[in-house]
Amino acid sequence: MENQDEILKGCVNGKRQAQNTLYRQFAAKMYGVCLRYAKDSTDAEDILQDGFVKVFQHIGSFKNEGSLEGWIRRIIVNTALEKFRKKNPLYPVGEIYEVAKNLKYDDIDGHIAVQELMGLVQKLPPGYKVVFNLYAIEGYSHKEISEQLGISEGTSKSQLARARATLQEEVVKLYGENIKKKIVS
Amino acid sequence: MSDPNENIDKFFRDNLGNYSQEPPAYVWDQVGSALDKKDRRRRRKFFWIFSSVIMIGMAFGVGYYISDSQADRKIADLEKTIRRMMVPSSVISSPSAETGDENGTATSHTQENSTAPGHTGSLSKPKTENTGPALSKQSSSTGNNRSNQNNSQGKKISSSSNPVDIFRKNGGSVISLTDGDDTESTGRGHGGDNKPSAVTAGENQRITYENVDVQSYSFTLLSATRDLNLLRTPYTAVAPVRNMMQPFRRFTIEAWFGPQYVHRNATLRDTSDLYQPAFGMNVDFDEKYRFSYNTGLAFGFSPVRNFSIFAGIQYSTMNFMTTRDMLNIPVGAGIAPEIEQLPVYTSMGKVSGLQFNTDFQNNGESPEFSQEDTQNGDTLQAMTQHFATIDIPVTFRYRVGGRFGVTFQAGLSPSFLVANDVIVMRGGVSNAVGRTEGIKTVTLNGILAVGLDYQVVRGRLSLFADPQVRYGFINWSNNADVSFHPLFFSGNVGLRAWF
Repeated sequence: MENQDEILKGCVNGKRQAQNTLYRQFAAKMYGVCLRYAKDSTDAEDILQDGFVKVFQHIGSFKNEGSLEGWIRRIIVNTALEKFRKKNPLYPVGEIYEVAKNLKYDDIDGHIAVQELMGLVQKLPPGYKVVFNLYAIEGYSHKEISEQLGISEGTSKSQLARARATLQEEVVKLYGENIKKKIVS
Repeated sequence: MSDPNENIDKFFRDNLGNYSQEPPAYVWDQVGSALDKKDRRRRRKFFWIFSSVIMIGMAFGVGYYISDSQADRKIADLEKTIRRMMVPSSVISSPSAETGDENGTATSHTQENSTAPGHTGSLSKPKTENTGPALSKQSSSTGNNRSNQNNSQGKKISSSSNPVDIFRKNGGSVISLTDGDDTESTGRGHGGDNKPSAVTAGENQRITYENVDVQSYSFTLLSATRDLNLLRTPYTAVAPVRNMMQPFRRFTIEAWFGPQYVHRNATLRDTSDLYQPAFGMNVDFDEKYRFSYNTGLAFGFSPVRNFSIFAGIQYSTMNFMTTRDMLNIPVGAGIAPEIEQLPVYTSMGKVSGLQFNTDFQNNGESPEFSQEDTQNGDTLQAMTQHFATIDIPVTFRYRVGGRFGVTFQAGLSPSFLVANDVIVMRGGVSNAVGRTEGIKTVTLNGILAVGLDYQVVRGRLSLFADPQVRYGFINWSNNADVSFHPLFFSGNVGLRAWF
C-alpha cells in the first residue's frame, strides 16, 4: 500500500488514482461528519462532494504539521458551515436557559441505535444543529462559533441550550423507561 | 453531581463523534467529475489569459515594430521632401511658422523673402522661394491637438533648430508650402483624427482645393464587456464604435443612436520653447461644451463560443476632439474570455473611415476652400491625408443589478500613429508632399465611467438604453500640446436582435 506521502504527492500532482486512494481512506468518516450537519443523506452527499473537491484543490497547502484527518475534517466542517450560512441565516432565539432534567446518559441500558441518534441531530432546526455539532462534538468554543457563523456568543449559547433541550426531549421519547430509571435525583 | 448539559453533550459525542458510514459509490464519481470540470475551467482561464497577453503583446509589438522599422526610411523621405522646399534654417527663425489646429486648418504667413533652394514639387513654382516647412506639434493619434498659430498676429517664432530635426522630434504631419514675398495664404487640410495637415501657398501661387478627402485606417485592438458591449471605445482614436459583436450569441444585429454632451476640459501642456509662444496665445478653448452623436448598425457572428467576427457601419458627428463628421466601417474579430467576476474581452479589428469637413462650413469659409491659382490657372485639385493608427484599448466593465444595472467602467487605450501621408493632386497627378509616418507618436488615454444599463427583453429582441457619465482621466501623448480631460454625459439607445 502506498504510504501517505506518496498519496499526498500524487494528489498534489492531480493524479486521479492517488485522489481516489485518499478519498477511500477518509470518505466514510467524513460522510459521518456530513450526516451530522445535513438534513438528510442527499444533503450530506453534497457536502462530502464539495468538501473533497476542496480537499484536492488545496491539498498542496497541507503542511504535514498536523493530522491529515484533522485537516480534511476541518475542510468538511467548513464546507458544511458554508452551506449552512448560505441557506440558514441565524437569528437570536432568546435567553439561554439551563436544561433542567438531570440525566446520566452513560447509564442508559440497552442498545442505542446510532442511526436513531443521528436522526435526532438531523431533525434539529439548522441553527441548533450546527451550534450543537460545533460545540458538543467538534469542541469549538462559543467565541469560535460566533466568529464562524457571524453571530453573537449569546446567540450561540441560546442555540446550544435549545438544541440540548430538544435532544433531551427526543431522547426521553425514544428511551423513556430506561432513562427514567437512571435519573439522578 | 455531574453537569447534565455535559452529560448530553458527551452522550452524543461518544455515539456520533467518530461515526462513520460509507457514502454511496456515485459520490466519488461526482467528485471526479467536479475535479475534471475545475481543471478544464482552470486550463481555459489560463488559456484566455495567455491568449490575451499574447494578443496584446503582439499588437504592441506590431505597432512598435511598424513605427520603428519604417521610421528611418520615412524620415529620409520627409527630409528629401522638405529639402526641396525649405530654406536655410535661419529663415525659419523669421516669422514664418504654421500650425494646424484641430479643425485641420493651417495657416501660414511669410513676412519676408525666402530663399528656397528648391521648390515644392507639386505645389511650388520654380521661380518662387519657399520658406521651410511649417512646423506643428502633431497631435497624437487620438487627435487631442488644438493649436492655432499666432503668426497672423505677426508674432515671431524663433528657433535655432533645424526644421527637419523638429519634424523628426515631433512627428508633425503639417507640411506647409509657402511661396512669395509678403504673402499670406491659407490652406486648409484635414487631419485624420486630428492630424492636421495643411498645404499653403503664397499669393503668387494661389491654388484651388477642389476636394479634400481624408481616409483613415485604424487597426484597433478593441475591448468589450460582459454584457455584450464588445466594441465601446469612446475614448480612442477610433470613433465611438458601439456594439459590434455579441460574444455569446450566434447571430446578432443591432442598431443604436448615441447622443453625448461633453465638457471638453482642455488644458495646454508644457511645450517646447518653439511652440509655446504659438500655442500659448492661440489655443482657443472658447468652445468648452460640445454636443455630438453617433449612430450605426452592426452585425456579429459567433461561430464558436468566445469568438466572434463583426462588421458594421457607423456615422458620428464631431467628438470632443475633432470637428469632423466621420463615417466608419469597422470590421474585425475578437475573443471574449471570461475571467471570474471581471471578464475582459478583446478583439482585433480594422476601422476605416471617411471624414467630412463640416467645420469648413461652420466658420464661413468655403467648404471646398477653393483658392484660385492666379498665376497660371493651375489648380490643386485635391489634397488627401491618409493616416493609420493602432489602438489597443483594454476595458473593464462591471455590471451589477438586474434590469436597471449599474455599470462601472475603466479603460486604458495606448495607440500608435503608424502612417500619415499628405498627398496633393494637381493636373491629374498625385504627389506626396509629406510623409511623417513612423515617427512614433504614442498616445495613452484612459477613462472612468459610471452609468446605468437598462434592458427590456422580449423573446429575441431587446431594447436597451445606457446613460453614462465618463471622465477622461489620462490624456497623454509624446507629441500632444493640449490635454483634454473630457467629461461626457452620454448614452446609447437601440434595438438588438439575436437568433
